[in-house]
Amino acid sequence: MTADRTFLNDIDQIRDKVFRITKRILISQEEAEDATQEVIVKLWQMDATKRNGFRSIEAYSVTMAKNYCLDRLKSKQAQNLSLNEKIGNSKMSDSLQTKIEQTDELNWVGTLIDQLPERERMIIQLREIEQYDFDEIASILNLPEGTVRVYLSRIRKKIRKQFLEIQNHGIK
Amino acid sequence: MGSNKIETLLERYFEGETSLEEEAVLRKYFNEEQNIPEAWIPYQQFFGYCEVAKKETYPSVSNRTKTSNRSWIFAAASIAVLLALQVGGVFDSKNAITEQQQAELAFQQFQIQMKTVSNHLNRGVQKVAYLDYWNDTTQKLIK
Repeated sequence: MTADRTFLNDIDQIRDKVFRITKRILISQEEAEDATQEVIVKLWQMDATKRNGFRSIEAYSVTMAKNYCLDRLKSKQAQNLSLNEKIGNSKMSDSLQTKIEQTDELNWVGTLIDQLPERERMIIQLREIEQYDFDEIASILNLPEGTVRVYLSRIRKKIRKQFLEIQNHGIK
Repeated sequence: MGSNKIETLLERYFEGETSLEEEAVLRKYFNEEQNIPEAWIPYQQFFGYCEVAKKETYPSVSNRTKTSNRSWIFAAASIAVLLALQVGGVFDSKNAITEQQQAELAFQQFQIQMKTVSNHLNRGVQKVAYLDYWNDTTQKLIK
């Protein structure tokens, strides 16, 4: 009973975190809600002794959320063959431009991040928003720490480049 | 905080070399400093976004757990659903435009490809027509 009580306390913090991460990976609000539910249910059904055996239940939940989301994306991609991925991408930058004009400054940062590949979105989310340590990110994503650093540096530069491009367009 | 120090921190930040503590310094600077050099405005927006994104919570959960009155739960839930629908609706209408455009583009591409295929097919059919001559000749021989 006490174990359940502490678990419930943990859950509240974990739920929001898992929701933000799943939303970043899946983009869709509804799907992120479903994914969060799924993760929480799995945690709930897990044997309490097993649950308490984890070094960090939070890191474990985030890993689970990540795996669930990647599975979702995979099955989605398998369902609909993307005939027009190339077209979609070239079209993206146009719609991004119009979106920037429409929405406020902060939202377009989000749009920019959401257009990155899944892995890069995840790294940005874990580091810049959830502020995880490199070794935590490495264990969640199952990558060497050095690789995470390299990725992060590349993504930060990529975002900076896009910022500058957008800024220059604004001046012209 | 001197802008020189921020500049060196930023350099290391883009190389992925900063620690969480150093990044906290950057975040604090960009979220609190008033006179930020114009060239750094995009960074300010980036860090500002991260700060906002960090506060996002799982929707409507507080309504579900804290109230014991059933009708309250239903009212709150229905409001949440309405809100979610509205927010979802806004998103959809925005996405719908680009989706529509993408679909139209895909359709155009598809039409072009089908035309090419049919042209080639016609040419192929013309070639196959020679087989008829061959058929005629064999018919004659058999007779």
